[in-house]
Amino acid sequence: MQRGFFGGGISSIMQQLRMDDLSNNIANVNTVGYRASRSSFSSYMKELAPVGGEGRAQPPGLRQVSMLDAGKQVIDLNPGTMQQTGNELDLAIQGDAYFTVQLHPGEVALTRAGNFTLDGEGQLTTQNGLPVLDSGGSPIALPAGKVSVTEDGNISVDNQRVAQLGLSAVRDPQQLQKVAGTLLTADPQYIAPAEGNVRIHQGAVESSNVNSMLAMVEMVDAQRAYESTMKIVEQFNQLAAQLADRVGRIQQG
Amino acid sequence: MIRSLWTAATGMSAQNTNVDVIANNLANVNTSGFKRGRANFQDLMYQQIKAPGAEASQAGTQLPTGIQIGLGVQTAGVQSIFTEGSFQQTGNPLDLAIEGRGFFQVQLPNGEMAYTRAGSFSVDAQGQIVTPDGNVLQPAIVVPADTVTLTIGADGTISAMQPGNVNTTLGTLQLANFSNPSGLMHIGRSLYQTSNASGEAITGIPGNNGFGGITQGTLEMSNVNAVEEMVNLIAGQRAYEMNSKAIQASDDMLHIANTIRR
Repeated sequence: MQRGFFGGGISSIMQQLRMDDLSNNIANVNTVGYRASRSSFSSYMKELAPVGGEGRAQPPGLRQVSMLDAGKQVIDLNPGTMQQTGNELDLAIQGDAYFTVQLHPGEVALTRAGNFTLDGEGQLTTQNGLPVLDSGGSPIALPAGKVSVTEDGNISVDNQRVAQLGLSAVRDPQQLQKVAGTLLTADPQYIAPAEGNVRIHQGAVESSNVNSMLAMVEMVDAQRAYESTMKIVEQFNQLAAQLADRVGRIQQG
Repeated sequence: MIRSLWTAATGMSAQNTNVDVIANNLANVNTSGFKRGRANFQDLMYQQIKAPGAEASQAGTQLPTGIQIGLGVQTAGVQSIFTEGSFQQTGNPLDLAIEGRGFFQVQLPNGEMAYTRAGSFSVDAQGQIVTPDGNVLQPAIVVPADTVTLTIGADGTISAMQPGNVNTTLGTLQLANFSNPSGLMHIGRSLYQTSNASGEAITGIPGNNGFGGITQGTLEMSNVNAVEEMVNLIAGQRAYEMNSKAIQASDDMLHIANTIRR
């Protein structure tokens, strides 16, 4: 079978993957703290077998064929816009840092989704009940009262200092992995306490950083690219049909 | 391909929930003591296409990043936002507002306790202070039939002025608070009940230990901000539309695949 047939087919599959990725971004366009992902493709060259045996000159430029592969995916780490809510347990981070939450005992996850709540015992948790950790790595229990959070992450209840929010940074953002629940994980060696210009805003949440305009444009692009690569497959299919139909046919009369 | 169809469908159903919650908020924009709800969303699970750190070549190089395809969005919960509503002067002696934290405690006909911020009370035939549905305010007190004026102080002291300038203290109103008010269960009619997420009720005297004081002749209005809800409604509707477009695009792509073989 023709190589271009498979090349076209693989490109179509890649556009499907991209479409899947874009759909997920669009589905999360209103998810607080969501980080968009982008996929890119890489091509790799495949050596062709020499035509006509060893020692014969090959036509230039025909020795290799380019194939497409799902290359890499990056998580877009640009901040989303800040949305004022006025709710005292809504926190937003300005700067390069993440809230630290406990995924399992001994395992932490990071998140930018600061729409926190309390559980029945007064522990600060994420919306699906994961404890938010303080700078020492332990859960934060808040007594009933008026909660205030300073810009540097000090939590006080009725003007009594209770805890210091644990803020983490990731040394190599490429190591980040997404986990369900608007969480990010990375190997512990890449996670360090956040430094530098990081500020906490109380009464605000960071909205999804999905650029809906760009997402729609990319969607059209993916759909059209899919269409054109599928055209290639179609052409090859017609060629194959002609090959089977015409070559070797004995004309009558 | 089928993935993106379903992914976009989760987006549509999440935005549907979002608009439902906003509609309920807007419907209760004039309900006294109503606390607005907010739908919180989270991303759904991820499918690993390529794991990071996998071998990329025979020379031992590794993939620096993996490829994960997300499968959409889910509603993590609908959270009640317990910010204070604005206060409205009514002059009615049995309209009570809590300035600060706390809930009025009322007893349901089945004997269970319920909690509310809606303070429009009245007196029933037995002289008990009741909600518009007839649930008795706790701790129950009886207002004498010949009361001229009923006074409720900021600290919850209820006293009646009877003919001949006789002032009688009838009792003290108590408020309840919870470690997590957002975890309370809505039972309708502006009432809440405790759940495992809210914690047990902590009762106390108004104006003490973090409880808000009582203001007589005032009602707490709904904390729904109509403008904010309208903006959220637009955002929710547009997000719904975008997800429907993603379904259309996926459908078109399936159509293209189907028409290759003629």
